[in-house]
Amino acid sequence: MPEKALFITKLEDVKYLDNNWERLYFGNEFCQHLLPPPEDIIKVIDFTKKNNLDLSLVTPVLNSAGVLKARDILRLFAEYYPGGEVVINDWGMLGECRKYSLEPIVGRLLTKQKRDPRIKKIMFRLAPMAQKRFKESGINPGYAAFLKENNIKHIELDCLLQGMDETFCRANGLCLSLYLPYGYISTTRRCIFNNNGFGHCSKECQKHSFRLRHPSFDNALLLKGNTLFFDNKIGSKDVLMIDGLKRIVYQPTLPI
Amino acid sequence: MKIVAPVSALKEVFPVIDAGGDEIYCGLFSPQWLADYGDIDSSNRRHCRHASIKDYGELAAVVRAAHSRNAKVNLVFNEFYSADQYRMILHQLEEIGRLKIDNLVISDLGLLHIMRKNKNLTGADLTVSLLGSTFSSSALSFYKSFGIKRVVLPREISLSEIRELRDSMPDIELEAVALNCKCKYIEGFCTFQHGFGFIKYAQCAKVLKKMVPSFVSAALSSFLAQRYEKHLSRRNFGCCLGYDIIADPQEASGAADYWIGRIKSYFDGFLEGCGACSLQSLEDCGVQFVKIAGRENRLRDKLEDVRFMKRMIESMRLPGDEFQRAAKELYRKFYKRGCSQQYCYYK
Repeated sequence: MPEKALFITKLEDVKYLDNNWERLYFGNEFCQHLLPPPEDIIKVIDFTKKNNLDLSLVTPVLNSAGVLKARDILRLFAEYYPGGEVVINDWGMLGECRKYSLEPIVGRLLTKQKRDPRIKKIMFRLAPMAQKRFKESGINPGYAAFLKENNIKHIELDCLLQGMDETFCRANGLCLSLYLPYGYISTTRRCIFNNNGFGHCSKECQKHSFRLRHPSFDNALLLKGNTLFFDNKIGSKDVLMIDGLKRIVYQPTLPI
Repeated sequence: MKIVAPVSALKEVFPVIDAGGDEIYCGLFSPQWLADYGDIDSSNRRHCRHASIKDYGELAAVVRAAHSRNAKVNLVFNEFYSADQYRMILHQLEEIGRLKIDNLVISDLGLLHIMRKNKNLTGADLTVSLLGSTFSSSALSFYKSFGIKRVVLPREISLSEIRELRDSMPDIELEAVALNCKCKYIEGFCTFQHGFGFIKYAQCAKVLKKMVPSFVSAALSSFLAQRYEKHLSRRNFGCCLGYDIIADPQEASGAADYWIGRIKSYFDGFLEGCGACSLQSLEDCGVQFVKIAGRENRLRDKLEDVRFMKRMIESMRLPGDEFQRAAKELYRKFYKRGCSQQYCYYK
């Protein structure tokens, strides 16, 4: 059975933990302003050690100032979890992980799936090759060779509404994580809650979330902070049948 | 500062270069790709067929034409490819190896990896596409390890961030988008599919083919493609739809209404970006190339854009305030509308 990981972005969300979980994911994929401060990292490390949980640190796309901020928490993490896992969503973080001998796993922003929820509705119109592409990630022979050369064995994926085909990843010995129930669609630096990216971030996004409805989508899109998500509770049972599935990453709330 | 201008057909090469384009960039949408994937999933991030070069023969002619005017050719492979698509793209690269393309613009990590190992495949220099999302010197350092010569900066980067990239790696050429297509989301991470409008277009084209003689339907299709494909496609962009927006139940109603208004405004319509009045700042930050987006635009729009940008570059010797005034006046003169902060790439 795949390992069960709970993904939280805030310290108070440890309330969602119960005996069902084997690993905790902590951090943020989409916004460097929401990277946890070092003191929260220490508290989470303490909590996971006391509760016999494994811990993966989650990092977002970063500018250079954000990389400096991330280095502080990577250093801390490496002290308490030598060789620990870091989910990277920015290739600039690969070198940073190496500096602290941490194990990078490729986050879902870098695995290049086609996530538009409307794809499911038009699949029947498409040529077989196009249908196949829309179920796959962007892991190809060159990408797999790069991962092998860099000793990266684990990639992370969203559970696509149109179905999934990760035959190539399995054939190349990659381990897969699957995020449920929220898949991301798109993310921006022009954050509405931060004056389109030009304001001082007061984390206003933490107070709000919205549903966006349009006739072209079967279900509402979910907007929180700088990122749009879709909800896929539907595939929950089928996904456990995917070969090579090492881990389910469950998000109790929108991961912003 | 040099202009990198879009081209989507052989007939555009001379006019675009003569209007002021120093380099051209284009994508290839091969017949094989079209047969396998249709319009819905492009090989180069443009779903309109008329936005791309049609085959190797036309591409060879484009390169010859550009080189005869001493202009470099950038060929874009700025998508992320599945295993099957990657193999097709590699085959394309083998086919075009003898064409002397100057620069390959790549976003796919697998393609970058293989091109680092097989530089002699095409002899071209490598550029990381703006889909590489290079926001930090750490990311630039990562891409530099693939032997790249240039990086196209992402749209959502600030002037101070550009300066920091330049300071960290002055030997990498920097190219910045300066006109058109101001995406609301980080393009390198956006998974909205922009080809949906073309499904409707393809359906209409099929009906048309049955109703009228083939020579009429071909000409009419081409005319309609030029005029309406862009409109059809943008109407279906996930980032530009007229959504009904509902706050989560716990939201206080006053605050909800305010943010719903802001969100509606955010998604309302497509933004034609412009960075012209920031050219002096971009040059100060180390940007050597300015890109005009819009391979799908009509030729006359491309020529207007190139001429505007050329005039702007010629005006860069003006003092700062005068340059800003000149930029606004030129923009109004060329585009028959005033510019607006919402269009600004770098302000």
